[in-house]
Amino acid sequence: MSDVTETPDDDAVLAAEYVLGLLPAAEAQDVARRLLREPDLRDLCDTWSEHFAELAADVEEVTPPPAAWPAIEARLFARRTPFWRRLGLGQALLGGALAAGLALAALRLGWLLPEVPPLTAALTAEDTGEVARIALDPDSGEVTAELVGLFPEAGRSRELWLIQGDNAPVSLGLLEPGVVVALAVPEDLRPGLEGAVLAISDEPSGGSPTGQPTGAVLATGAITAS
Amino acid sequence: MAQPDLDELLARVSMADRAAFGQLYSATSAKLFGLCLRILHDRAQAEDALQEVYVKIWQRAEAYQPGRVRPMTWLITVARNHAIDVARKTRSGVTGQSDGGETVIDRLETPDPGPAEQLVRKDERARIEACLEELVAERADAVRLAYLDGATYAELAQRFSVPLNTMRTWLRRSLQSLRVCLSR
Repeated sequence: MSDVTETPDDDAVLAAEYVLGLLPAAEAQDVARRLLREPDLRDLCDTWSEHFAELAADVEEVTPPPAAWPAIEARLFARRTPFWRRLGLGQALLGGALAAGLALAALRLGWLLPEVPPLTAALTAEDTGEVARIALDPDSGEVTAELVGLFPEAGRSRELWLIQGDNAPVSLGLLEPGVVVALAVPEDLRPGLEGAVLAISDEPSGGSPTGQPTGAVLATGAITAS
Repeated sequence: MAQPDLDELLARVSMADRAAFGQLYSATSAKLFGLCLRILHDRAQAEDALQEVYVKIWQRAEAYQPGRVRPMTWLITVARNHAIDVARKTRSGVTGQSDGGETVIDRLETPDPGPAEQLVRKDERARIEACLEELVAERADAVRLAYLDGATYAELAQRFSVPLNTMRTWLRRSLQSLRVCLSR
């Protein structure tokens, strides 16, 4: 259609098509990539999401069957095999093989916080050395974390996991390349932080879809008192 | 019943607060289940979808950024997008099925406005409805079909009996008009 001219509003229409899910896969991926670095386009998508969500407002509410909630809880919170075991990492970690590449590194904290937090961890990988710097406050549960190596490729994310003893890993959130992000440790896990292990896994963009690590474990490190 | 603060609940859910997750479910599951049913037209599928949606909400709550969109918009978007994915997969899997020549997109009758139970968001809703009213009726239908049924351009073109490219040009213009109207 030759009478369709390129206008500055093109992005607005593109954003609407993206939110509606109308774009062919290749174009949708282009938009997804642009969204990572174009806040204006993100704003356009957010605005459309708000408007279109109003179309859902008139949809009749229907109480789900009583079995739905227990099913959701079972899927999310049922005990699972600790992922180290599944990955065969248990021996490496527990067998004193830390020096073989999963070595813990001492941490200088001047870069992170004005006050030295009580607990820190440096996550390292065999080939690349330091991967992330983490500081934790066991009282408030506050975590600051910076990914300094092994940055994710496009479409992947780096997810930080807390592993206490034999418990299943608990996601603390996603790490951002070169940026200090604030995360939090759930209240019930704060007492056992010292000596627990942090791990970073490679995950699809936005994090593990299952609530447990799905990709390779890239780096690990123990939480130690500073 | 006082509506709980969804922003706060989502923030707590992002910190793995299971009690908050339960409250969030109580407060929002009827809305999201209704939406899954509306999109999928199948109770069993909608029940599965609802489970998936809350699993995603639990796992992705930390991606929700307060202030960018309202919490209910975020929840609706998670549910809508998942249900649309399921609906599209189902449709593409049953392409050969003769459904009286009708596909799910034919089911978009005038959405029943239902009781005016939710006055809170009425202004905003009235606004997009009013702006859709300004479009030629079938163009507004196309927008609703895309949002609430996940109709693709190909499906819309078939439904409105126009070539695919024409359909896209046509809907893009409608979206442009909608944008102008909504930003007035």
